Amino acid sequence: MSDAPAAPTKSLLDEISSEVRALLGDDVGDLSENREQLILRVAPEKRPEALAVLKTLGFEFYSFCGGVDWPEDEKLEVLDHVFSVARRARVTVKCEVPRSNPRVPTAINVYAGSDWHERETWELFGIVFVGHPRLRRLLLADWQEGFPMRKDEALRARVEKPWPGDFFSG
Amino acid sequence: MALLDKVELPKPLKFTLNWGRKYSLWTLQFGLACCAIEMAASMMPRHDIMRFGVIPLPASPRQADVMIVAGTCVDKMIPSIIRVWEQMPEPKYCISFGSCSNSGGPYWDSYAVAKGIDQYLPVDVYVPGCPPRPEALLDGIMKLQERIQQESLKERLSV
Amino acid sequence: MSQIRETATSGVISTRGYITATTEHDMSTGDMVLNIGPQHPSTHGVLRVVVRLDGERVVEADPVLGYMHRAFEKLAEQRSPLQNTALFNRLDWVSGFCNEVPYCIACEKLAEIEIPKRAEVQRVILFELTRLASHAMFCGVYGLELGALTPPMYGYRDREYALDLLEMVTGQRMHTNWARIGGVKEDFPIGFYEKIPPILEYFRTRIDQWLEFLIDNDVFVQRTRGIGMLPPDIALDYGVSGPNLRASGVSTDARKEEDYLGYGDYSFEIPVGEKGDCFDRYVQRVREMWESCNIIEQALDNLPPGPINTSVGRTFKVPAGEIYIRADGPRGETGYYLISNGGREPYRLKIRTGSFSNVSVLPYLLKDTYVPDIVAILGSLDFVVGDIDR
Repeated sequence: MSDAPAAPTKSLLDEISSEVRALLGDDVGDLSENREQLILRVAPEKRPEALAVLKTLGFEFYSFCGGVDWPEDEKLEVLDHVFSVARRARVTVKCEVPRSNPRVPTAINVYAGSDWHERETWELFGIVFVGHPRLRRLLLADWQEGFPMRKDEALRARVEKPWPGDFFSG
Repeated sequence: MALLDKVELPKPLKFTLNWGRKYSLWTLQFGLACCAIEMAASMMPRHDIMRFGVIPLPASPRQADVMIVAGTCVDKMIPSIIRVWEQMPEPKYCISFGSCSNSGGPYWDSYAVAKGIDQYLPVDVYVPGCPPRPEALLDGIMKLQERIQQESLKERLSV
Repeated sequence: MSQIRETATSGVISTRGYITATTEHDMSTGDMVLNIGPQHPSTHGVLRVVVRLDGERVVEADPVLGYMHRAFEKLAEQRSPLQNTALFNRLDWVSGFCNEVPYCIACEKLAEIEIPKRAEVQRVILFELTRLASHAMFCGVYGLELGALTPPMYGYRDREYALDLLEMVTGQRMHTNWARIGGVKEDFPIGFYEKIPPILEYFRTRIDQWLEFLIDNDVFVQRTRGIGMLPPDIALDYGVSGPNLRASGVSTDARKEEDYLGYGDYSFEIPVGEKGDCFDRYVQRVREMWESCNIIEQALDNLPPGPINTSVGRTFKVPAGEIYIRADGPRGETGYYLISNGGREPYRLKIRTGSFSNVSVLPYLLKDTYVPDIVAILGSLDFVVGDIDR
């Protein structure tokens, strides 16, 4: 038997919006609907609270955490995406941090799965997750320099640099 | 082996020794990425590399003759590849399987990928493709076997 | 390193074979750190797991990733949509077609392009065929993890039949590169429709055999039952998805929840496991193979005539906007968060892969298990390292 899959209806998303506003109050920077998902913008300090509120509303599935670099606006953005199995709805939580001092509190006490995602976002973008027990490299090698996913790091294959295979001399 | 790098063997003996070596290769799979799946498929019933005398799975690098580097050679992995290569005893050969280990492949401009394993190891046979068909690996093994047949161990070991 | 004092008894064994006298003395032991991988026959690729052992028992496990990090997200920002579909095949390299489809759907939804119904159905057929090939390989290789040498032969043999069909359509066995923005590349060749039903029939008999082959085997059952139990709330917390999550008892499938590729037209069930141990995860994938056969049959019956591509042209630019599209692949949920600023290349493409979240639950799963169970648990998660490291 099949139940036809349905995009989350507008009424469902409105219901969730009102519940979120009721619980978060003034912390909600912006809450809008975008192509079948809700986008919730909060201040960086309120990130764990917003995620905790969403978890109590049934959004138990932690999908991912990623970063976006906006060099013209001098800011970095942190995205968290959570999903609710029971209600079949999705929410993306966004926080903006300045490029000069990118610090965001960690969500590891809310969702245990954010551990690895935050490590990856730190090493690729340079966003420091304050309170993370062991923020260390996950994907990159020890000798890799810089934060590769930032827009000002060019793909260096197109730029000449010394041969990296020189493991044995000096 | 202490004799073979000083003395050039007479032709019948050299023929027999090389014939025995080429038909009893023991290949170490360095299956890193997608090409590992095609390399494994070449050992399975449809393409069956065993009929060429190549037995797929040695227990350790110390028992292997050929190393098939199949897949992308990421910079973080290169010290491990070199260490395993050094663990293999002479005479040893290397087959570079797939375009990632030939030259970097589709990720040639990535910040973490080595542009071919031949920057670090001496490669004997390059098998192109992304991924190459298992029949291409069989062709590569046959070319390696032709090479081994012509080889003189004195020249190889005395360098 | 912790000092653990244990007592050992040594006994004198008499000529009749039983212990006659015993003495007790203190032994002091410590933890040992064992490094498994990255070059190891049974880590499914280049995954390195550093385990701290207290004798045979694992105290702490720490997977080390990055040995296959090829920087897909950075490369995707430099490549046009056509090059991106070729690139994303190599994410979850066992099931290539399943990675291209969500990206094409994301671009189509941002550009608000309707793809023809025939293209949708063809995508479904190829998607489920790839899933069959992937699960057949898993069933075979999982036996190899546990020490049985015949199952991989059977698994790869069955996989070859599915790959034959894929090769007949796309010309490539693994990295098909067949989905395009607007549909698929070309229509099915002549003679393809006659080839599928016998192969589905073959797969159905093989699925029954897979269930008997290993499930009745005492060694297999003892090595997988009760091992690696994953409770559903932990699984949801870590973002585990796909067959692993369904085996833990959570009934969720992106095919039923998201409206993509017209999955609502087909009637299929979502099998759900009970306990979430390795055995359940194995049986889950076998049952999903059965459902895939059903879907392919229904799709073949419903193939409408018509075009297979709404042509978008070579100078296609994705309009500005952001969207998240996910699909249920054999490894789990593959999702693409696409942020576009109106150019040809994506501004930022965050790739959410199933294996990354599946493997992040390993430190939890490997705690307090024995060393031989490490391989059983690793294998049952069915990850692909390219999917983890991207």
